[in-house]
Amino acid sequence: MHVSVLSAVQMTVTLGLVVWMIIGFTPLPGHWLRWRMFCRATFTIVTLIGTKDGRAEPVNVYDHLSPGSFILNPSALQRILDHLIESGRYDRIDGHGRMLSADGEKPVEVRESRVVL
Amino acid sequence: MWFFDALASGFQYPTDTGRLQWFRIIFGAVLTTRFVLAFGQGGWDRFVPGSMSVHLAKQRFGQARARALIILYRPGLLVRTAAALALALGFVPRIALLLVLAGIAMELLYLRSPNAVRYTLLTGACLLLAGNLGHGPHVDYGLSMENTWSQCLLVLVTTDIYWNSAWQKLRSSQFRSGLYLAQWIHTYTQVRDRLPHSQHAVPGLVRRHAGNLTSRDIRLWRLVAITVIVVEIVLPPPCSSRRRCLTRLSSAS
Repeated sequence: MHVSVLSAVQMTVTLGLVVWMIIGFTPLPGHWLRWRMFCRATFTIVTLIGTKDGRAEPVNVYDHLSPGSFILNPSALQRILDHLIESGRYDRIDGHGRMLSADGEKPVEVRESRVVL
Repeated sequence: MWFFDALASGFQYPTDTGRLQWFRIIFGAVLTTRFVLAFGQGGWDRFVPGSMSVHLAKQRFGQARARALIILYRPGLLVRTAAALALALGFVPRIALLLVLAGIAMELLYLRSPNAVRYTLLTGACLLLAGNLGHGPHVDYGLSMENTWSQCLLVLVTTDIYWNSAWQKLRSSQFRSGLYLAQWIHTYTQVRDRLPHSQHAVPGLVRRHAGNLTSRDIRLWRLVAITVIVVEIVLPPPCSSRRRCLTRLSSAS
């Protein structure tokens, strides 16, 4: 490829990348160049008891998160509860705990396998 | 400064090819370590039948695609590790890099917030555009224009990750106030005994004295939060290059 054509292609791609980066500083959609590490999260500290055929045992919900992760929001908690019930591991799960978010701390309850805020 | 000179010349500016080859070697070495560690901590057993990860994959991709992912997952872990080692050693580096990128892209299919994955893919793509990745475990020094563009892109991507991250943190009242860090450390302190594979090494002293979510703790973490934002803004002026990219790569991984 001729040097000036190559240079023009490289400049265009670089300019495109810079525009894409600038978008990352605006409210426009897209998440690839938006680096929200450690910015916002909802944490849930919860103790659960699962019941199967009348027998109760503690349920460690953190066992079901991605390795190393412990950030758990109420909808992720509900997805794990649904999975544990649908897979037949428990008939019902109950418990209580605390939810920590940008709004501070709130109690959270799990009643008959449903998350109640 | 070489970065602005290179930009002004339309990337027709000679730089030392060895710089990017060093980046290729360390990129390969960091990813080899990361991929080896990914076998442990429950990584090899992700997608075992009945697991939450299988359930989520089926929900997200449907039965057939989830099945393909589950079948390809373990061979993918093995191939990408071998490819990362080949990349570090300079054995067919471009093909090895493509396999490494495919292997890391696989994580987008099952990780929730893959910042490190995205950063690795972007820097890997910049590396792919280099004209001279070198061959073998040695480094070719000498001025040429082959790697100038790739090096500039790496500096841009790395500067963006620092400045955009600082911007996002500035806009988050949860982070700015110190609440995020105080809640993170408090939650970790409360649940660490229940974590099957803890990847965090938080000293007991920090957990005991700054992990109780008191207003003193939040004030302390606010200082840390402000320091992090300032460091992220100050650290990456575009005159820096390789060193910053490598620091970020190690910390993101």
